[in-house]
Amino acid sequence: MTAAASSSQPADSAPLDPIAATALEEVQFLGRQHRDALRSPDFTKPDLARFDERMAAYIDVLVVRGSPVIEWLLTKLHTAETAADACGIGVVLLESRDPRAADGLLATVAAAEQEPLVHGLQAALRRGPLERVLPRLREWLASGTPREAASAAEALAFHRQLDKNSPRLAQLMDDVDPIVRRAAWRAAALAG
Amino acid sequence: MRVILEAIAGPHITKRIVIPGYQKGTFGRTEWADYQFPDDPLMSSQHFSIECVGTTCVVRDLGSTNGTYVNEERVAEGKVVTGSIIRAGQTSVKVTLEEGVAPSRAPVARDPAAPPPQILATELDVRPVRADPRVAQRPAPRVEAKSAPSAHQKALADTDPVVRRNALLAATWAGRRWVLDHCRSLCSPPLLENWEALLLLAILGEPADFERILSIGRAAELGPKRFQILGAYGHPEVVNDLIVGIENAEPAIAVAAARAFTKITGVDISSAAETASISNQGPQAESEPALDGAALPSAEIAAREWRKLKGKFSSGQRWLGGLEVSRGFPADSADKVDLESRFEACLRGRFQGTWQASRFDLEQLADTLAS
Repeated sequence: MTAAASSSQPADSAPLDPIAATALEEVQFLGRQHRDALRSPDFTKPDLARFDERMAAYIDVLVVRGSPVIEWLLTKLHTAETAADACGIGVVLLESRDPRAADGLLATVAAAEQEPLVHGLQAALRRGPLERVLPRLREWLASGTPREAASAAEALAFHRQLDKNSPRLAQLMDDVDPIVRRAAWRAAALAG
Repeated sequence: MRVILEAIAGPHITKRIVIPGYQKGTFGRTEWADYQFPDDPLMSSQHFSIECVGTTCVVRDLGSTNGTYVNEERVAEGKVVTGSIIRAGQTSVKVTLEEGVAPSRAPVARDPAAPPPQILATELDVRPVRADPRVAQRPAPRVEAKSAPSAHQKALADTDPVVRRNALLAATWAGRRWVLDHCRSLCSPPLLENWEALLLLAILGEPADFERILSIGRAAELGPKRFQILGAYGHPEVVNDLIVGIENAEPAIAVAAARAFTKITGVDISSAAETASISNQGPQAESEPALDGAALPSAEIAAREWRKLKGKFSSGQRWLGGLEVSRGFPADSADKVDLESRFEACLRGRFQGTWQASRFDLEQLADTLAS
């Protein structure tokens, strides 16, 4: 069964066109499959590669639609309810390499309160290309709020762009906010 | 062997450090290092490491800014002997190697095909060797648990369980030797609230941990998850417990035990029967996987297959899918094994310093940390 057959379209973000809507649902569905398989005893790495090949094809379907799809995806990102939904949208936004997409994604990361959404957006920052968001992430790490800095540290660590001896990271690991501490220790782990 | 380092120059002059056998130590200015020299501004956060195998001790520079010198010769890696002087930043330390205390356990570029080093118990300062010679080839060293550095200590005592879990995984990933002792300290009694530590002990544990692992695997209060511990440890002597589990009338127990059996042996023992609309019961129900439609295992097939296989399996201490992996995980198998086993092998390799993390490994780690 495909994602399109099992999910419905939110009323507040009308699809760009039916093909785009289906492609996004498939990206989100395959992303969920990828996530569920990532440490599963029932899958191997080649199985995962097959999910990813299919996902890449659907991402292309969306990215080639150019600028109009960005507005639509940013609207949907605000209403994403699950980590997989947010991750799917986030990956497409990053793959578009559009500055508005990068800004909109980071604005959502900065505002995200619920951990599932935070995890979904972090997963997108792991899977997608970072080039458009890298300068802002570095700014966040240097001078952003603790939550911004912790999010930045996590993404930068995954892409091997974080100095594990960063004094800011040490501060974040000792922050009063447990959400920040969790993210900081994730960053510390990923930085090795 | 143990290594004694005595600072003979620098801000920490007269500081004396004793590294017991079986341990690798890192040295630097900050808490990221196992042994710290906070008042030496020219020392890097993690400056150099010392690791011993047999009677050989090797110093490695850890990418320091100002370099590591052995007898005033800059080294990326170099042997040290009694009397060697290591200089890092403003600090110079004199090395003394004391033999006959305990050998190092960490392998340094050892030929994977070579047999494990033979150790005479009479030469060691160790606890008595286990009575069961099938289980432990090496005695457990009586090594004091070097405690976690303060940042880790604070995180491991955090009120937030996710912070505690993430800090423990961070230390494991970085190969901190104290992780094993920390996990051991949390395994008796085995509690679900310490699940991450129990599982890590199974993944990282040594032959000397056999009795601890078996106790966890027999702790009925852990529910079916206890068989995950036995499967992750992979020792052939746990298989009889798994067969007993497969015989259990509760499908969730039988399926979990069968998964562990297959994980170790690589043998599928499914019967033709399937579970149907089984709802897990008990306090762990929510954390257990759904069983609807899962093939019920056959204890008869398991026992029959094990009678055929156990001779072969007695030759090793850790098995995964029928492969003997106690001396490492064959690189060409990494894409063939299931992703749970792959991540466990990766964690073990990272802890032992033998696994270079790929982007995929990091993704598995990130997912674990976010779960």
